[in-house]
Amino acid sequence: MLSQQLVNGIVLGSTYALIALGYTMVYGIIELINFAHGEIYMFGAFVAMLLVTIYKVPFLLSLLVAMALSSLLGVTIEFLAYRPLRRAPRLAALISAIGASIFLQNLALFIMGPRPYNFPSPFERRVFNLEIFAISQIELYILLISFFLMLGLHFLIMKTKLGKAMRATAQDKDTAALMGINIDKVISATFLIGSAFGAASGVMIGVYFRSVSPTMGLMPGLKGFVAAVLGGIGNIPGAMLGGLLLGVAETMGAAYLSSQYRDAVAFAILIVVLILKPSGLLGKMVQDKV
Amino acid sequence: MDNNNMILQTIKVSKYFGGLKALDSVDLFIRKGEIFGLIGPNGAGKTTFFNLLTGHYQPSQGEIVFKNKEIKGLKPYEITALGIARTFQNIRLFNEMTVLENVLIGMHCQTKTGLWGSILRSPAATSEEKMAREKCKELLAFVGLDGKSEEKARNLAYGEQRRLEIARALATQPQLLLLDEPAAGMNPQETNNLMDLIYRIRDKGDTILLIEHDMKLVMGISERVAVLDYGQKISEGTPREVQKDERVIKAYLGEEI
Repeated sequence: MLSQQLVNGIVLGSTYALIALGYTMVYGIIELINFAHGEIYMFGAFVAMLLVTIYKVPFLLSLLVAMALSSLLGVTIEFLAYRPLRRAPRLAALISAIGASIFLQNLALFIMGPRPYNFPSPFERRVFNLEIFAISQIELYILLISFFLMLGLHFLIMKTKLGKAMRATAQDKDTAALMGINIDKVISATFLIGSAFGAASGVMIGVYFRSVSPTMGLMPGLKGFVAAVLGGIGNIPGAMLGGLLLGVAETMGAAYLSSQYRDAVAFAILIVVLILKPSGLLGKMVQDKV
Repeated sequence: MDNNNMILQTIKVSKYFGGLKALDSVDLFIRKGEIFGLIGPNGAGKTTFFNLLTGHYQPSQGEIVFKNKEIKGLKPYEITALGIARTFQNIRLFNEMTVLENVLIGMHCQTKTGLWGSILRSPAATSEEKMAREKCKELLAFVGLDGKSEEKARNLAYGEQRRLEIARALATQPQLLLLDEPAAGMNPQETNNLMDLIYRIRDKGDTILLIEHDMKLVMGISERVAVLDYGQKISEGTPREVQKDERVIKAYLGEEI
């Protein structure tokens, strides 16, 4: 029972981790909580669902297309809603982010209507029964895809020129610019990757719960944010860890307390972490520049 | 003035912050291959002048010409690509990265690999990365930091951090190197090493514009010196001429009562 819940938690947590990465990467670079991230997650799920149901596109290809289109959406949001406010007080950009979120959600409601759509699962209902736990085919896919994406991101950040430019920009934008780094491009790339990850999460959750709706991004968006704060916002391994921990804690809470406490557990964790370690599990205490 | 011989010229450059005139129509020209010192009391506008040259600030008035090209309005990364690099008064390294990575970042605008090249590890990208690493190692050896390449930048000693900043600036392959108080906080031994390093950079063919408070250093190595006071250029010439200038003495020591 415990090991089964652990596996369920890790599956759910890996999707939170993917969302959290989008928040944390954007925050690391421009110190903005991109509240429209949950809507990108929703957009990705819709794109994949429509491709699979209407155009009969294979699932993995739909996933890739959804990630690509969502990253374009993310870059567009940055360009229209955040870039003009780059030098404005931080609160202005935050409000713009909330506005973008509400706008996208309502646009989806307007176009698609309020009722949830069925996302037919392309996977067989096969369950692998191991000694201590069982895992379904789709759960296995979610785990594999998530870990593959996270490994890829780690490689990108640590080994490539773009990754170096991103780390440099996160540490000191002005100096990075003097090294010949085009900051605008780096910021676009950050939104591109973060949005693709958010979309991947949305697609997988959509197919896991077989349901896609315009408001589906709200809760996971918040949870991803909690996961990012839990791990230390701006810290990439922290987001991965925070997502997994949150998923496990939530599943445990639902299993051993009551399934109604699922969300309460997530936010209780947020409050506790903020009280005990405001910088997050892997975050560093940074003193504000004087 | 012979245009071919000149690398940088500012024409009546001014910068206002609200009512404050941080720089007030400063005319300056710097010849290719010289070591030029910019001095002045604290708050005279020296660092503001650097910030204008690197595109961090835009001049309120006037023109900045680099290699016969007007650079007003260009973004910092574009100016870096044209060939101006700088170091900072307060060291600004990428502290969490290794020494080698810091220099590799400086190499950024010199390499051509795009996003897909670096993700897909194309052969061109791999060989370019290898070449960049070799070059960075050469630069580290040049400033005397060989053997430290895998250390985190923040673990270096102070003088070493200064030299790493110079190596990082050199990695952008500048023709004009701006050094903002490179000797600040150094002991005499380190200052001597720094002078030697500056000569070696000049001998490679770079032009150097130096802000410095250490008079022994700046008067010792600069071929020409300009003095700023309250945003205005009050004197210019060889170190010997400037040292004798009444206005300079007044700016530094105050007037006789």
